[in-house]
Amino acid sequence: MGRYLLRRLGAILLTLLVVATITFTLTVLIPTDPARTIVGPKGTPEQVALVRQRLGLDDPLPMQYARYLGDVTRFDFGYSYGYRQEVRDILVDRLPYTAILAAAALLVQFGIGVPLGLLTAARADGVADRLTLVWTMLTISLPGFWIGLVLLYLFAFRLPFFPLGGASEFRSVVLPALALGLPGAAWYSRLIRDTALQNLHSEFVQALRARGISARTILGKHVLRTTISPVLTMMAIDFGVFLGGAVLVESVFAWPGLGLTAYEAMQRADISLLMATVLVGSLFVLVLNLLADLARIWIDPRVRLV
Amino acid sequence: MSASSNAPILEVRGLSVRFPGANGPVTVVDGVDLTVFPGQRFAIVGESGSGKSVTLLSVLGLIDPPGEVRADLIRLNGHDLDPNDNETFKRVRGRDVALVMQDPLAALSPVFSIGDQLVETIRAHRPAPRRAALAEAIELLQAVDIPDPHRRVRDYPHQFSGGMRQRVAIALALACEPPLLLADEPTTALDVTISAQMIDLMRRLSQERGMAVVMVSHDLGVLAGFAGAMAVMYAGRVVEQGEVDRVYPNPAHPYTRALLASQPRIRESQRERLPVIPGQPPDPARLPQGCSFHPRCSLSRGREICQQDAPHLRHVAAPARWAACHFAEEQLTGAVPGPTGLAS
Repeated sequence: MGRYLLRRLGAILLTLLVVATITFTLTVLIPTDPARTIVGPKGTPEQVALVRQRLGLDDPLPMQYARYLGDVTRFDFGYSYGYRQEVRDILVDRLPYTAILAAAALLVQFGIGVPLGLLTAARADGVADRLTLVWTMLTISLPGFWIGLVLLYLFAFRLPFFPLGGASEFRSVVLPALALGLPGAAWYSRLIRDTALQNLHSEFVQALRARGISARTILGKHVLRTTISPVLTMMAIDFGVFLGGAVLVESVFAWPGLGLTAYEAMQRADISLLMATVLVGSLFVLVLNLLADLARIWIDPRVRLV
Repeated sequence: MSASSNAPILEVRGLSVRFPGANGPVTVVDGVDLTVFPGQRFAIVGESGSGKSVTLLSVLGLIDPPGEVRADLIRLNGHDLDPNDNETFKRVRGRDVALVMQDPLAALSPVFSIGDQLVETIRAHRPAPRRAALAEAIELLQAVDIPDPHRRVRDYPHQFSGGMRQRVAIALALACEPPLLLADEPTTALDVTISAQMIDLMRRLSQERGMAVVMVSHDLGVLAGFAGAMAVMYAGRVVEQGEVDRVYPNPAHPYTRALLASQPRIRESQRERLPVIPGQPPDPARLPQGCSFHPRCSLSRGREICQQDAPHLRHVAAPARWAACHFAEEQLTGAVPGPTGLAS
């Protein structure tokens, strides 16, 4: 187990290094000159040269690369000229919002997806099952930001239950969380339904019934536990993705999280900020992936042998 | 052996099971009667598709729609069970009757330790603190001869060998001390030595606990030393019933005779060829007219009644022998062409 963890952590570090290298390469390849962005269109070539020198942009690339990696390991992502603020401070500001949204979206995925999946499995081909299938097809095939726009129109504009955007009050999180979580909820309810249905017809369920175990216990305990581990893994990965910032949904709802930050950074060619959001996003995906695998080992003892 | 003075632990009258087929419903079990007394060990024998497993599952109410179960009577340990009312079965499952299945790995919940599963089963039927239930679980593992039960109770099904798993499955079935155990080919998935051990274990448990066992199998060798009474099923019907000691040496139905003749025996291993029953077990969707065994039966050769009338199970010999054959007496007296009653 210890060796397994070490190996996984090593793999995470290696992946982050690759991501950092790619983002660094992109900054080199991008035709935008950050110095020119900082100085503005009216700046003189001398001013640009000065800024380039101060940022170390004239140093040889390997040197810049080494410096960049060194800074990143100390969580120093540089200075955002778009916000006139340390990138780290911006991230620290925005991260809690993204974390709240990600947690709420996960709750939507889990809280709707899992019970719905079990329910439709228990009553396969019933009315609820058919309705869910239609709903699933819709939510899966429609992008989250579009669902967000519809939700905004219906429940913030037509029926003003929720604010139109921003994060001014507690209720603000509801619509973006739904927009972010509903497609997953639909997808996972389907996945759980199909797996649970297979399990419901397996011999161990028949054996449990023969032993007099109640249908509710069979579904909610035995079938759930044999069904849920792949779903948990995928949800954990989703959570990592959400934490990295849901760019489109956050933009639609003007939710001041990492996703909106990344979007703004893109618009303003705020390179250091953009690189930081990419790196932080990758870190979350990787760490949550590891946690998901650990959870699977805990849930399903058969995985322990592998 | 049969404790006939007591009331039966299991009484089944007129059990029929139908499943929808491509061309209308297919009758898989057709008018089966069963009577099992407390402590009795009873065997149901037949080829695959003869309806023996479906009979067992019907008694537990485990045939799901679209399967259709009808019975004039299913009485289990004093409870009248209604095949159309699942609720009536819920009271008896695990408590009055338990099931041991063919493949123990498939029959155990894969993601809970066997201790968890035993405790769950015990506590599903009576209130017991977890600790007490766990102690009981360990005793149960001991009762089925699992070595080192204190440690193994924490293990998961996949950590046991095939034979040990079947012991675990038996322990689970015993958890609520049911007076009746149904065993559906419990040894088929095991190799020969393990299978013999399992039969010994089940016989011992039956004797120690006064528990009746109905065992379904196609292996007559396995059943010979185990059961006191037996029923032979063919194409969804009981074709012969009687005491094992009397049926084996002198079967009353040509199908039983053929089945016995096709069992390999060590002593006769030098014989070149094992007799086989000619033809195939019939497709339940297209049963032949008359006696459903007649196309494979040498006794019925040229006899019109076999092709026209389906024989009913009737008393054919003392003390307790029933057979569904028009010519059972002929079979019993041995006035049969050929030594085994097989078509050559």
